[in-house]
Amino acid sequence: MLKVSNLHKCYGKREVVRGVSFHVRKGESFGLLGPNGAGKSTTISMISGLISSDHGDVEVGGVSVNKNPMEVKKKIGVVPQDIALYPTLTARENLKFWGRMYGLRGSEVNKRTDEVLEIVGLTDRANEKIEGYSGGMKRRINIGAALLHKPELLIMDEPTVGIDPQSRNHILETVKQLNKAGMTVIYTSHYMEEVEYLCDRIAIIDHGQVIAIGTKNELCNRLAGRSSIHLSVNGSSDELVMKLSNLSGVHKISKEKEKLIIFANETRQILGNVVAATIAEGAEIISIEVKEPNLETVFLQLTGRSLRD
Amino acid sequence: MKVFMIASKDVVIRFRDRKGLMLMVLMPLLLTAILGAALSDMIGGDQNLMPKMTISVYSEDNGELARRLVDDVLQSEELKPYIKIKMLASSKEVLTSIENGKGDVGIIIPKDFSQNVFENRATKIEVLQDPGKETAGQIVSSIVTSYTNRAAAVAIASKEVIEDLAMSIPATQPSNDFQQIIRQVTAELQEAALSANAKVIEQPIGKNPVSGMQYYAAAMAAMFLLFNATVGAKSILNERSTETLARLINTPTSRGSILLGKFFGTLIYSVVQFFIFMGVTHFLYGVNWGEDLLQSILIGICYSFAVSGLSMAIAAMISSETAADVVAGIGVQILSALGGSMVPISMFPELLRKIAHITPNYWALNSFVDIMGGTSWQTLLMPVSVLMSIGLVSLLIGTWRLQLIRRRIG
Repeated sequence: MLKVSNLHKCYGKREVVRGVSFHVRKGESFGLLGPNGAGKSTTISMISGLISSDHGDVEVGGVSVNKNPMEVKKKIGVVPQDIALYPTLTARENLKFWGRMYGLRGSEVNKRTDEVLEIVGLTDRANEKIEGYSGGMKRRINIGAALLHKPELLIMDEPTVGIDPQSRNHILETVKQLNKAGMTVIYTSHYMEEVEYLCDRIAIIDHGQVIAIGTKNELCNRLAGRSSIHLSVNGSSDELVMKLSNLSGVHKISKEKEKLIIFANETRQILGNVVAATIAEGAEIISIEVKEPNLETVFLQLTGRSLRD
Repeated sequence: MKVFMIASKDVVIRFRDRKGLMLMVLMPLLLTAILGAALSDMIGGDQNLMPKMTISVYSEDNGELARRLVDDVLQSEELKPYIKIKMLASSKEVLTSIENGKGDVGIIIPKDFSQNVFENRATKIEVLQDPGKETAGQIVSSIVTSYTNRAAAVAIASKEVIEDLAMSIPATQPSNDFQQIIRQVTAELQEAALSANAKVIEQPIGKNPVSGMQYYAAAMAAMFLLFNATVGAKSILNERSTETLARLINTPTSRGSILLGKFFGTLIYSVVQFFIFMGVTHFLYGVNWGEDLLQSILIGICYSFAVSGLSMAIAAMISSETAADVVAGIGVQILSALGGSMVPISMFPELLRKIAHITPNYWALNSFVDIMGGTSWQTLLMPVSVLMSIGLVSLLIGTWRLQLIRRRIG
């Protein structure tokens, strides 16, 4: 469905996307995970034809975005990060306008507008102006505007930023349903739980590069230690880190201020040794927690920093 | 097709903006009523742009041309209701009468003026102006200059004809015949120079008088249509910052269609605004927009084209809506003042009157006033060309330079 080959993009002297490549199968839900500024938005802007790449190409359904951008745009629906709607127009007027921009005409526009209002659950508020909507409702119409022409590929750029949990759940369910109905989805977020919930495969992006790609399990299996011990202490020292690293079964230690994350194969078995070593070094334990592997810890181990940094 | 969808969406959005609508439609109507009523005297009273005046005259010349200037031109049937002549005994008395306000304009006709004109020698009538009554001074100056030039032209023509005759009449012909021919030719040419067809004031004031209300209706139309240049630019900048322009680019719509859609949105809104203003001022204030309404409509459309083009150029040159507000607040006011929307341009010093030509509103206002006074289609060729050129060049600059998406690294 989508083939991204060696994309590069520079802004001035700064290279924000550095050789990104991946592919997405038809009907797949694909996640792009990375912290703010990692290059996710620039990558999807190049996929959707909003900006041109300095190097590389994108093919959607076998059509090159470099050679035939208009044809590619017909196949794609893009949900931007911002609420890109006209606040003084009603939800219905907004949807009709965007439908026409995607080439829908006559009764087809009205039919699809009604269908989309149904999908996003706002039929009863359709004739109200967007400016009177809550943040969550605006986000839902923002998604709806990308669905009118029944795109083969739906690209969503952080569609849940700044909304209440109820609206967030509604949006996640909507995306899940669309994907179940056969629509290919690319979902970018720095909320790993959303990506974990929605996506079949995930690419982790950092500093403009794909640093890992695969299913959630594949990524978690790549961890040097399957689970991790999160140890918050008062008075952590280099000596303490050294001592913990030398413990049997410990693969790696990440340090975030007063928090130490210890990656090991059998975390529960070495827990006693970790506590003993910490006390012996004179550090005061504030909290200790064993975590099973997830995308957050995968990202942490791969980049040495948190997704929300 | 998509061009007009984008344009009509913009028009709907603008008409839903109550604050904007107040500024663009109600405000000019209110200002027209206030300025038209309050300042009508300044531009010649409620009935006419031609101000009433007293001209203090001292003539050292007893010749035919001097006499005719005073009796036949300045006191012609058309000018008599506005001009009162006061003959004085010396140039000093003329100066005093202007200084103490008894006369509005002074004319001093030099000795042998008529003779010098007939013999094509340098001569000049002195016109004294009261600094506070520049319009009256300019009108009289214009009448005197035109009269003198015409008389001089006739004198040169007479001389040429006589010389030609002298060369062509056989020497055998009696000389009294020759003298008779000279007298006849001179009389005919003088008659032509001083005939009703030689009125020098016909064009400046037009066929019909233009009232203060009419002037300020045209002035406010020119001023408030100009606001569309910044309103249109703000619309583009707003769409860029809210990413609706980026979303438009994500649809299968060409960049050209998007830009033209934005341009036509401003154009349609401006034209509709002009029609509303024209209609309301006509029915509410009785403003006559000219004998040929199509002329006013043509200028209205061309002016709207110019401001719509300017909106694209402004959007290409500035980066924020705040900057657009500054342009609207200061730039439009300056252009409006310079273009004659605040006070008639005839009251400006010569330099400012020349500078005014660079403003699109000057061309629109001048044309509206000309049309109200009665003018030909041919006269409108120049303002139409200027306004269309401003619009076209600005549109090209805008489409060339305008950045539709904001750069966001992430």
